[in-house]
Amino acid sequence: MIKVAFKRILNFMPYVAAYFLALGLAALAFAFFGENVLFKDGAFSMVKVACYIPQDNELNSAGFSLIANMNSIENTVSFVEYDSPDEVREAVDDEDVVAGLIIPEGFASGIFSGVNPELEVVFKSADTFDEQVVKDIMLVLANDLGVGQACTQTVYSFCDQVDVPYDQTMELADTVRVDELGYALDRMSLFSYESVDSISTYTLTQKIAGAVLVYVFLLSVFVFAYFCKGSNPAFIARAKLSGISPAIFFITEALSVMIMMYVAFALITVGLHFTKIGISLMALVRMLPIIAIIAFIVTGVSYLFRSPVSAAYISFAAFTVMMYLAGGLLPIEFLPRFLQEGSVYNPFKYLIAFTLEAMFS
Amino acid sequence: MVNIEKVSCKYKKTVLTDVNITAERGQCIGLLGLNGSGKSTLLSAISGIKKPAAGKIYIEGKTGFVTQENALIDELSAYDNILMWTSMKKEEILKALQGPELSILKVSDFINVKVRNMSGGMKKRLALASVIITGPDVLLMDEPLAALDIPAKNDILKFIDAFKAKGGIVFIASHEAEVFDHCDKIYHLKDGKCVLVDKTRSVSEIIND
Repeated sequence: MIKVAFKRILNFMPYVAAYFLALGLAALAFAFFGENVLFKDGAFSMVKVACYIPQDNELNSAGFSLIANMNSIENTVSFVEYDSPDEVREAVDDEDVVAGLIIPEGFASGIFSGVNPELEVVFKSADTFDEQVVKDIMLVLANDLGVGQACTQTVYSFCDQVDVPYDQTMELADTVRVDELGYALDRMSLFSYESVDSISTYTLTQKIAGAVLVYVFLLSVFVFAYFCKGSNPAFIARAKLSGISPAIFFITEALSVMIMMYVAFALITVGLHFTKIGISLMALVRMLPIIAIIAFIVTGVSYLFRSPVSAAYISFAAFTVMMYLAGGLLPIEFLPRFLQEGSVYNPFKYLIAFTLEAMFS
Repeated sequence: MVNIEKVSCKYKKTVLTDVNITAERGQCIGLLGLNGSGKSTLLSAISGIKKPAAGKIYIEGKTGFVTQENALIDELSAYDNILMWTSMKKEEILKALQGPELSILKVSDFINVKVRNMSGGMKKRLALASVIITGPDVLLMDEPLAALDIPAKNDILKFIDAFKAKGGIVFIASHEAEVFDHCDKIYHLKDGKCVLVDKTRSVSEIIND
């Protein structure tokens, strides 16, 4: 039976190769260019932040919009303006938003008068990755807002002292705002995703490559469902009458699937080792247990359904949802908060984590 | 010999009760009935794949089961499909295929052809040969002539006669009238009962009973 199993593997490999070639190329393209799609300007706002801007001084709105329109903040934080500080606090409490920024009444005028009112940054908790990012952004935003407004106030005050006419004061203030904008724009890279991502172990490209690889291997049910015969009563009957238990039959087929997957993975690894994804060649050894787990999952799923077509489509739907909830198809930070918390119970999350560890550490 | 005593079987909606059949060496037993009457369930119980809910099945010797759906691997050749279920060597397999009974099935003619390139008749011949090569004393066949051309049907019927002549026992579940000409006893499965019928009556008469 072992000899025949190897013959089956050799005869079936062209189908496996065709599958991995087709989906592998698509996955590779996604891994290389996915970051550009995911982080394209305005494509996503990672989190919502509530804000309250008092209308007692136009400088409050001007200063706030200056900072909020920084590219990196615009693409990371979606601001929702509320009518009162209490509404902001309530929104944070209800978890409608991740954080709140409250600019107190008299903030702009108070800066120069020596009262020095403080901005209020509200968090319910900051224990997740996205909240930490927002917390950092908010603190710098608050700092910049204060600095920006103080600069503008200084210009007005200086013009008053040197007795410059009002219209020239406005002209001068506008010039300072333009300079200030340049200052802020120079700091855009502070919040670019590279900086955010640098605190994690893997680059975004690596994360996408690892997750997509797991996804492509799981979806190989599409091809392996035709290889596995354990759902066919005729084969089970034949195996039993030949003295082969269903368990042995399953293990033989799962190991055959594993061998075919491993050959495909070895080719992928050698190919990607020389690209910017940079899979470690040690992955050839470290990925063995992960490929074994996936092979047994794929064989098990193939055994559940009598028809290979049913196995393929149902596993496609199930694995896609599972991978999405595990943060495998989009960064987990893009998921709603309750789904992020639920992902700790998703086994695919750990499968992806182990894969990243095996491939890139 | 095969002795089935007061056997009851249940599978999905099919229920068979109080089945009593005795088959001696060299006999062919026909199981006739409509779809869902329990023919395949009874064959599974005789083969030992499914356990009967009640009663006893005594079988002298080894059973071989040719299921309605062929247990063949498409990407393998006829030879490899036979090899999959036996520990025999290539020479032994080729020699066995040219023996007096198996040569009727003419599997040697397409021994290196992959299953995906075979006709329905070739597949059925191969499925039967791969079971027979393991040396069963009792052969169970579920719809062996379904969707076969005339030469394939004739060869399989000829094989059944040869297997009986060698002292083997055959159980056949079928709808095809021509099968029952080769049977020594015919049982009609209807409404959960298995009744011995007069083999001189035509199949349509029995079914419409």
